[in-house]
Amino acid sequence: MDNLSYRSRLMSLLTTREDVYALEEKLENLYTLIGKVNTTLEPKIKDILDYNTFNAFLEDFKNLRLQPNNQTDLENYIDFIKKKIEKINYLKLTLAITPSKELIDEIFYWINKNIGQDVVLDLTVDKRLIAGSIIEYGGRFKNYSIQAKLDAFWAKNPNLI
Amino acid sequence: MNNFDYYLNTIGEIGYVDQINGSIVVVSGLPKAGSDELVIFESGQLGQIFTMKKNQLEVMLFSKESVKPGTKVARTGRSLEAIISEAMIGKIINPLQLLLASIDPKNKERLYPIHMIPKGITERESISKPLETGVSIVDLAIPLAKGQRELIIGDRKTGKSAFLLQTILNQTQQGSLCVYAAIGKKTLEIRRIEEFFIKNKVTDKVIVVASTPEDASGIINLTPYLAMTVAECFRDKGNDVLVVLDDLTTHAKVYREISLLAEKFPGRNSYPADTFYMHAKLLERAGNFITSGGTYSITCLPVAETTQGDLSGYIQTNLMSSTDGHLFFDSNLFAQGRRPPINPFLSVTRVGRQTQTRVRHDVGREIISFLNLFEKMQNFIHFGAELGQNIKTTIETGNKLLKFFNQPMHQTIPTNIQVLLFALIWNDVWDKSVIDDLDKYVNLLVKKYNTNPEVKKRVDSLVEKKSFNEMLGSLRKEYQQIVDVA
Repeated sequence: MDNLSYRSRLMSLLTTREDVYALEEKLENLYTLIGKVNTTLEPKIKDILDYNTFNAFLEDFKNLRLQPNNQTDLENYIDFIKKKIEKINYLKLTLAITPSKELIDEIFYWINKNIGQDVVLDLTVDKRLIAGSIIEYGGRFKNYSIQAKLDAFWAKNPNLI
Repeated sequence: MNNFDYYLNTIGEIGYVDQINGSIVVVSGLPKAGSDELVIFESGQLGQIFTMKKNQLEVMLFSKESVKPGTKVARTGRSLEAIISEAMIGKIINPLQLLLASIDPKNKERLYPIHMIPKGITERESISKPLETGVSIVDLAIPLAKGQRELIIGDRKTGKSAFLLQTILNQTQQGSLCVYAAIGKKTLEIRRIEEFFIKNKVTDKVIVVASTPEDASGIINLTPYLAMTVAECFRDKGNDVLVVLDDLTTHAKVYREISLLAEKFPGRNSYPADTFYMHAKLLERAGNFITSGGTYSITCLPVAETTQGDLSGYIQTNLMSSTDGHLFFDSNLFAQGRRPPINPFLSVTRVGRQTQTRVRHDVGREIISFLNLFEKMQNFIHFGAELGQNIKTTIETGNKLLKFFNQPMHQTIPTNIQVLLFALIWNDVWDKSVIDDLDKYVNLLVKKYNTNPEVKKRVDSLVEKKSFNEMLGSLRKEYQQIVDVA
């Protein structure tokens, strides 16, 4: 599978780092199917993957003209997805609150639109920020938290403490 | 807010430690980092960007404590700089302390770059002033000058450090400021050097920049550059400075260690290809400079260690080509009891002679040619044949000269007294009883010279004749007058 530029439907389901870890675990489980003789793969793959992931998996196989019941094709596909995972860029976002699913989806939609489709969120919660967020991406760091503003204020006005 | 948070928020870039190889740390991130830039770790340690690869940086750590993988790294946006002030005089400075002070955001003092580009030719002047070491064999036969770079080379334990301390003692007494860089030296040795300065009351003119083997390799590597920066700062303030770099073979080994960890391609003897450049750019910062306040010099005495007297080693030959001469401390002469054991035939001075007066020039020439003759005459003795009177006289004079050149560690002799003493021995003015008790008479003469202005005036007048022959012509009469006055 040399076509690394193919936009995998499976990869597009990944929103956060936790999703990536979960997918990696599922890929390891899929790997156990390889080498088993006299086995129809597709039902077993359906058992391992959840509904959305299985549908995305089938769509990828259809687009790439692969056979889900073919062990060689399955192995190549798993390696392909692993290479894709290695190339993921993470946007590290530290929030002061635990975000809801809707908020995460909204943020992810914004990132997809403005930064690119190979970016996944790496979310952390740190209540010490009080409010706002810290964003890290591509080695760049931006601190938009209230904590940073307060620290800067106290540094300038130490006599007020 | 600590320093790391300050720089992280100010510069707005972050990196993470991926891998650790001893004192080299591999960092990813920091997209706009520059070569040789200072970085700070979340744990407070400092490092310098050593190599820049496609997606990673190799950072040379400045602390012995290692960092953990995953530690955050921030850029400081500045290169290596140090705060240098008069308060450093008389103290032992550790490079790490200066670096930590320099990155403090609250610091308002001027910062001096540690790695400076040496001044160009238009800002330099020809070397014209002699540098007196107070050691007779050097000042008379292998003279040095202010602004010269003279390599001190020899096996270990041959008296190199003793000679350097003598030179520092003499120079501080003449008003120069001295910077002693102890590169990877044991704490005990540094303490001994400090005690020497305290005992001889020269701490108001000396700065010691020291790193021990316990320090990080990055700090040991930085020590001579920092010492040179200190020298440049005080030169700009109107001082002639003497810099001693003890020793550059240790420095080269540390640099080799760092480069091999950073996977730089090893060259000869596994040293990296830029070893010559590393030392040459350091030594080029010495010289005779034109500053806004006048002409001031930085004289550099780098030290190199040899193994079994081998002068053809890689680092040794590199340093010999980067300097204006070398003084070779011969272990064979050391074993024979000569102190200092400087071999005048294997030592070179390329610049010192142009600063000498006519008399000293003549004296130096006489000494070298006579010692050459004396060396050859020594070979005749081994035959056991009967010696002619000429040979006996030559050998006797040679032995007197060698006795004169043997100088205890704490004794420094003013140059004019050296010339006078040589003339007295050369012209046989002193009889055997004086020669047998030479140390006593030398000490007496030096004391009188330093304390009695009339003696000083007469000696200076005798020595500053138009030529050595003219001086010898009036030696007996004028010496008697000096003795009478003393």
